[in-house]
Amino acid sequence: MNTYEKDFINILEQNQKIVHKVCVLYTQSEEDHQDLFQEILLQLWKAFPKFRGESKITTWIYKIALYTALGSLKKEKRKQKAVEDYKLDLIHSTSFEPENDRQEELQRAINKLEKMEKAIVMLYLEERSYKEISEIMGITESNVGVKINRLKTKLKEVLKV
Amino acid sequence: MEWEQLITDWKNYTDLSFEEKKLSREELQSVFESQTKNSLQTINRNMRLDAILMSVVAAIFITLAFVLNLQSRLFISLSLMALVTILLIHYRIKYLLINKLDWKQDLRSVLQRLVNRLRLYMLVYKIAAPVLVTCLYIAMQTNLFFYQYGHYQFDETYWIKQTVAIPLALVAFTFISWLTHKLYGRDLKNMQENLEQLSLSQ
Repeated sequence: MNTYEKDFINILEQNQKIVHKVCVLYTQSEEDHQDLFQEILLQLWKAFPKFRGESKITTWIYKIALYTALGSLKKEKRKQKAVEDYKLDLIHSTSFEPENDRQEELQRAINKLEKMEKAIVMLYLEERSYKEISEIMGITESNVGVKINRLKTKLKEVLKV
Repeated sequence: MEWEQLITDWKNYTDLSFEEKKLSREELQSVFESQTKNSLQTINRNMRLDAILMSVVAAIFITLAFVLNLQSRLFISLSLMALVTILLIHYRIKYLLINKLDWKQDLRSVLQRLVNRLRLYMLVYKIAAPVLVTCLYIAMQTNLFFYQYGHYQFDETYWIKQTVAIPLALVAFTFISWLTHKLYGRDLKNMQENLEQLSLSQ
């Protein structure tokens, strides 16, 4: 493994939490989670040569991870590819379940949102600034504010806060 | 339930999930080596090989047609070149969708650019394929006439046969429209929906 590849692994190691969180947000099963994780890794690696540090590394990862998760292209492929060539034993096979009722309710509420809404809610729950959300999603900061307010109302209705 | 509580719940929920799925450095390396790198190499290599192989095979057949001095060598060459053109457009679309993403831009711009390009390529595909099919039909009829009569002074039968080119073009256009929709329609719709969700009115 060369230095360049090691740099990539370092970045990945430090930020894999972001990738996992995006996978949690957009998948329902362990298998899909693993497939999406693998797919995001591939997209990150493809984009890595052009990453010059103009934006924060987290912003860059969020953009690519969300784009991949939005499944613009490979949703079907993901299903087909499944785990045939994936080393399942590399990832702990325990399936994840919400810990308590509140978390389950939150998961259920998020699942009712549209794909883009999910992304904005996740970034907000991750306490990203409006500026960073704006940079990731490509909408103005004021638009981010408007959308978050609407999403709060929507989530409140689902959660009956 | 307050928003602060939701943020805490989200973090607990996802942190717990992360702890279960977290990969060690060695595991990450292994996944990267065995999957990521290989997948990328395989995808790009296969696409390149497909395109090269197709062009080489077409070139061989065209050369053979000329070496053997076949009567229909021009028609054969034209057909093969038309086929290669159609397939190259198809490969170009595939390559664009898989590889051409500019991550200096935000998500919305990436999606918008991709949608615009995909629409353009679909349009080119929809126009190019029927035009090529129609041209081939006209060339074939002309060729046949020449071999039958030895000149290009076309008679009424020739022109009647050539009128078939019009319904043929329409059928080809309908078929290609259906095919492009089948191949790329879902991707396009998905990306457009995502873009719409980012508009302020949504």
